[in-house]
Amino acid sequence: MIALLLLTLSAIEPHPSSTVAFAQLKYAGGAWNPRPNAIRRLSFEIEKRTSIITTHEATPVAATDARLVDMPFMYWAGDGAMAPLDGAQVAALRRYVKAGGVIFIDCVDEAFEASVKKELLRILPESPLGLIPEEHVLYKSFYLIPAHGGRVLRKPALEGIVQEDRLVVVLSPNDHGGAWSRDDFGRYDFEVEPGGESQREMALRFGINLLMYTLCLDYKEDQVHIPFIMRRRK
Amino acid sequence: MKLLPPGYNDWAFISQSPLNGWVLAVAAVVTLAIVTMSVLAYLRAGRRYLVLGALHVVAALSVLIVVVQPALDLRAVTRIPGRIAFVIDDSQSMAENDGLPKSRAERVNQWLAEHQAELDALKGQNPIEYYTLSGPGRATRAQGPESDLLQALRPPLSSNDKARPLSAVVLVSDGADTEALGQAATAAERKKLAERLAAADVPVNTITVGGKRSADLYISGVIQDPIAFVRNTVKVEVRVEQKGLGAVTVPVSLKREGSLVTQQTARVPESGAAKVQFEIVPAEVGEFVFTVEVPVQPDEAVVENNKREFIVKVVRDKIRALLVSGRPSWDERFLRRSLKLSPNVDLISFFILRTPSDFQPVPQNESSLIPFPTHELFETELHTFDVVVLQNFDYRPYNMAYLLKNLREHVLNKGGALAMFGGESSFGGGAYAQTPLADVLPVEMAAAEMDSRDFQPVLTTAGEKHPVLRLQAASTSRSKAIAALPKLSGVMKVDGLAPGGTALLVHPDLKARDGSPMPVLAVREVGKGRTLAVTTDTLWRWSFADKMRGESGQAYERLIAQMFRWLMRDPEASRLRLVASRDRVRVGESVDYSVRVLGADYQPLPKAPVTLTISEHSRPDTVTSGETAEDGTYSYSYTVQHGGVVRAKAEARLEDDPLEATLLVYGDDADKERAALGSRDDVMGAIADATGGVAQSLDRADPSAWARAKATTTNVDRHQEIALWNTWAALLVVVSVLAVEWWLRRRWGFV
Repeated sequence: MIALLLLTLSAIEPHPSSTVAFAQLKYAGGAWNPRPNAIRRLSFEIEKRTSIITTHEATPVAATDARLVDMPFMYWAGDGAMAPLDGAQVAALRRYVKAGGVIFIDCVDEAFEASVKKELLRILPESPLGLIPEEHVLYKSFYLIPAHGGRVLRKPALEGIVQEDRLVVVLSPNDHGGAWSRDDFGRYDFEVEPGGESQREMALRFGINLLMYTLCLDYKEDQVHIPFIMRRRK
Repeated sequence: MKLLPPGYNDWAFISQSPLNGWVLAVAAVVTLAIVTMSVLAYLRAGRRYLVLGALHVVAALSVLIVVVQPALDLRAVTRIPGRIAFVIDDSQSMAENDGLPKSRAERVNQWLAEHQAELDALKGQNPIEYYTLSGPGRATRAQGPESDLLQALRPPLSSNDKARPLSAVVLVSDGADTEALGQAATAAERKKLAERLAAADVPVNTITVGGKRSADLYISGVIQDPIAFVRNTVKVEVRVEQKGLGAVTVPVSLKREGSLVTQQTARVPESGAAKVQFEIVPAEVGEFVFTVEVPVQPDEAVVENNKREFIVKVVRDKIRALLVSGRPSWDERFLRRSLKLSPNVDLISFFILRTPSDFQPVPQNESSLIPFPTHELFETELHTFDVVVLQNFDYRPYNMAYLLKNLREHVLNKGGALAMFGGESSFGGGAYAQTPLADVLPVEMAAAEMDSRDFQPVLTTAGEKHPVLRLQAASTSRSKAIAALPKLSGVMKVDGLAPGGTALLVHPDLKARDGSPMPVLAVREVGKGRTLAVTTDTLWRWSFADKMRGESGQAYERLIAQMFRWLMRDPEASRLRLVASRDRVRVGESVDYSVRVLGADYQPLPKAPVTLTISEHSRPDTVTSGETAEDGTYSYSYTVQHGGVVRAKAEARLEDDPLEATLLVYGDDADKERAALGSRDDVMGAIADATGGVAQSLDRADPSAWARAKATTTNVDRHQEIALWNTWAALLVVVSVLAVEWWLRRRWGFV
């Protein structure tokens, strides 16, 4: 009976347009893909732990790529300083955010962080980056996250840009992709410091929360959830 | 007075002195004192001194005359008899008969007829004028909506002046004052109010008409907000008072459209009012007639005031929507965002973030997941939702098949709305064909197959005019606007339209089982509710992809807003609108109805046949028919004849598409008047006492006993003053007398 139910339930696969695709920004003048296995691994964990259905792999796209219309979530990673974007790219990324897209910027090092922040000032000059407060719904959209994750803990907090009550850009200085990255044999690609495996787990949970927030917005701040969340945080 | 010259009929002595009365009085007293002392002194001195004393008196009087300057005032005067003003109560309470064969008003008329001779005799001395409670005139019908006796006495009392003096007022009433005087809690308060009338200095005689059966239990007031919000508590405060019954405890019933809703107990005190409060939580939008009622007591004088009707208009403050989503997706995210930003929607969301088959490596207390409360959402709280949206949601893992029948009932019988949005778990993919929802959804859905191709939906004929697809200005072609939107991608295949379903958008290639284009967006009116189906889960492209092309993305926002407005039967989305110029109208006054008909394209429809039926209590329906004017409007003015609820129903039959709208208006037949119908001796007595009048009851009323101020007033039309003494002559007398006195004193050797 259970088998029959599972068979029925799994009879129809979602079509590609209804799954969540990850765009990964491809740009000239920098290491745009420092953690090639990061999104694949995060996607695996998302599908394993949640009801979200993803496309499993990141799709490398330029800022002006027409395929972005199907991918409102963008992963923008880098290792080392990047060259400035051209005007068309800046305009395209601005339009992407204004249309409803979300960009997660993952900084492997300080040089990339500094250069990408300059680009953000060009893309969204009216909205500077700010620290994301600990009580933000991003930290409770699926898991209740008590500590920060990442391959390293260079800075104690993430930064973000809010427009119309929505986080449109999230910037991690702690190389989350490095913590997520895992090879085809299941071995993690990088050691996590200083917190070890619990810090890696926090990084994975954050990745799941980030996508959950992107798709559900402030759902976990609806009144119906608050008593449950408050009880569990005691 | 025949000695008076022609043209004068009265005279008087006056003083022409410019000095005021006090000075003259003092001068007179001083003069008399001097003269008296002088005379007394001379009397003691002998006869010759009497002559000198007489000369002193003459001299003193002459001086006094010079000072006083006496004159004769000849006058032509008119004597005006004072009026008597009869103020006769014409309020509705005078229609009561107090258990007697005749009403109070009829008994007053009978008394006036029986005392005609006395009144005629009175009329000979004093002109008689008549007033009603609302102004000059003779009462014809007991129909006044209120009794404000202080206000009613103001016009006759303020008319008292020299030209038209007022001798007395006779107030004939039951004393059932509905305003301050009647509501005064104590005799002292009543006295203080009545004393305001004393300033006119005219006695008000009162004649109280009432009955032996004066016991009355009545609802003296209902306070409630005329507009209530659906599912929000409405408080209704009811005041209950009694007269002549003593303290009583009675049940107060609240009924809706004749059916008992609830009951409370009122402990009505010896004096004052008992207040009871009801709380109603209206579950539906609309207009409802409520009645509050207290039981009739033995030997009660008036039973009509034991109940009171009122209208509660229940409106929606916000659309309360339940969004249940099978999994987080872009379609869900853009829909939630759109609904959350809408000020008209109160959104409750439940998303399945983790299915039973998902792995959970962490303890429950480290996640923010909460149980999916199927029982609460689809059973106990279902009635609180206006719209339920199932978005790519498969009910089967949650053991809630039995709850879907509630959802069907919610639509069919409660006027709820249901929308299903596409995805692999919707329609046939969610096996809904085998559920009660198949009875209400707009599409048939035995198929369980997805088509994942991109497509541009095609507008149907119905979609050209339907309000759901009013996405841009009316002048723009809808088909062009739809064709210009980004392509959608992937649909859950359905078998076609269900009976009563209407397709607004269809797939360009896929066919239904009957060969017609397969619906992509379809609607259905079923039972009391409405349903809507969207077979794709990529509508969000009309927002994100549209904006990515540099367009506004507004088509998506408007589509979602229009979908909800249509689902909720928003009046703006209705093609027949009935409005009235007023919510409350006094009996005898008119209310203007306006019926507006819109065509299928939601533009004003001229020459549409309209029938308007107006119903009142105890009166045959008024039915009027006609055609709408160029602006799509048909107007009718109706005079309300009776108190209570007036129901209007407008109907328009358009191409066999019957439209209907109803509206309630309250005919105000003087609620306050109906509330307090018992006669009030105390009120009438207070008025008479405060003004120096006489208080009588109708059966013992005696015109000869009435207090009256001056029966007549004298007005001087013309006068002439004639000085009686010449000043120079008087002075000459004084000098002469003094000279004679000096001469006599010399002659008699007194000097």
